[in-house]
Amino acid sequence: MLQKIKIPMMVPAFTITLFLTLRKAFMVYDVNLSLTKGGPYNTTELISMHVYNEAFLNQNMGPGQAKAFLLFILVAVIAVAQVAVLKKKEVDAI
Amino acid sequence: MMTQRRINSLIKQFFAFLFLVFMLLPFFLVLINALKPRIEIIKNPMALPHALSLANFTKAWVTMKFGTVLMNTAYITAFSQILLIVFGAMLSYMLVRWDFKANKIIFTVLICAMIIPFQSLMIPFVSIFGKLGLMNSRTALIFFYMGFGMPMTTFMYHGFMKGISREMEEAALIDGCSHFYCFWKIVFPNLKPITTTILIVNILWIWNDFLLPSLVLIKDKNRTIPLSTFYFFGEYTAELGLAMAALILSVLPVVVIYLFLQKQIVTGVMDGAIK
Repeated sequence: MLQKIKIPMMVPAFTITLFLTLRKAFMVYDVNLSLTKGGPYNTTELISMHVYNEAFLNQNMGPGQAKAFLLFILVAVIAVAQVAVLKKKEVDAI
Repeated sequence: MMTQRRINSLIKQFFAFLFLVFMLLPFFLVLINALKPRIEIIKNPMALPHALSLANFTKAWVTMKFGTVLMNTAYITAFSQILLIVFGAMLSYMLVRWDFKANKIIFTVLICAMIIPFQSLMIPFVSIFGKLGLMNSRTALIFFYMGFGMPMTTFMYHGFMKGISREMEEAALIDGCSHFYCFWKIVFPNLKPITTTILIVNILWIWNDFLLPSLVLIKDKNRTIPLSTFYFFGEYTAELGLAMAALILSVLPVVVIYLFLQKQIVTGVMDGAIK
């Protein structure tokens, strides 16, 4: 009963929450900086910190912007795919 | 009488309580350590303070220049909020109430603009604004926050406004009211719940934003709260009491604002999104 009725009716909430959370998760910079600063020898460097270091610390604006553009394409593909899949599963209230 | 249901609920409460303790333990440690002088912290970090002393707080306030920093952050947040709400509400009113073909295009473009991560735009932003000589200016920061917050704001207003009936506006327009006046006097007061929600979401984001101010604001007197906490913490990690006091000071304003308006978030986001 739980998964046949309650969860399908909660799907709109899942759609928007998952969309916003995924978007924010890919942009995390300050938590990464304050917890590990890139970790021992760049092992915990997340993607946002990688772009920042590449563009501003190494002063390689060109490759840095290219990486940022690839990040945009990745986030766009994931977000659009996720919204499309969940919109199909939405059930109208009877 | 301990029925099975009561036992189940007691077990769930017990685990929820354990989880609460686990989550709040770091905050608790920071709070009690901020009230102790340095010697007591080194002796035993987990003990309660013998005597409450606010010396750490006053010293952290002065060293961090907390008054100036708080004013900077409040100025940036308040101005970008006002601009976002004014222009976002007007834009979504036009998108909902008029049936132009361009409205669909504009709305689709806004939704797509929500997907763009900030990192894709920060490099051209910094280089262009650097050449224009607008670095160090809080006004450029407000301009950028307005651009970045507009898709989300318009999206939430749009969802909410679809549920408002047109009767009152039509009555006002028949009576000879202009569109501008009709919007500000009749429609906008009805938007109070979603305005509060948008206010909270945007305030939390702009207040706590670290990356953008760290790229734009370079001078000491222009810093915002997350920036100044970061630099302070980097310098003063040896004096733990002072660092803890600085952390508590930077958390307090947001907690106060959030506690004031917290009930509106959950109801508001769901109302705006599902419609």
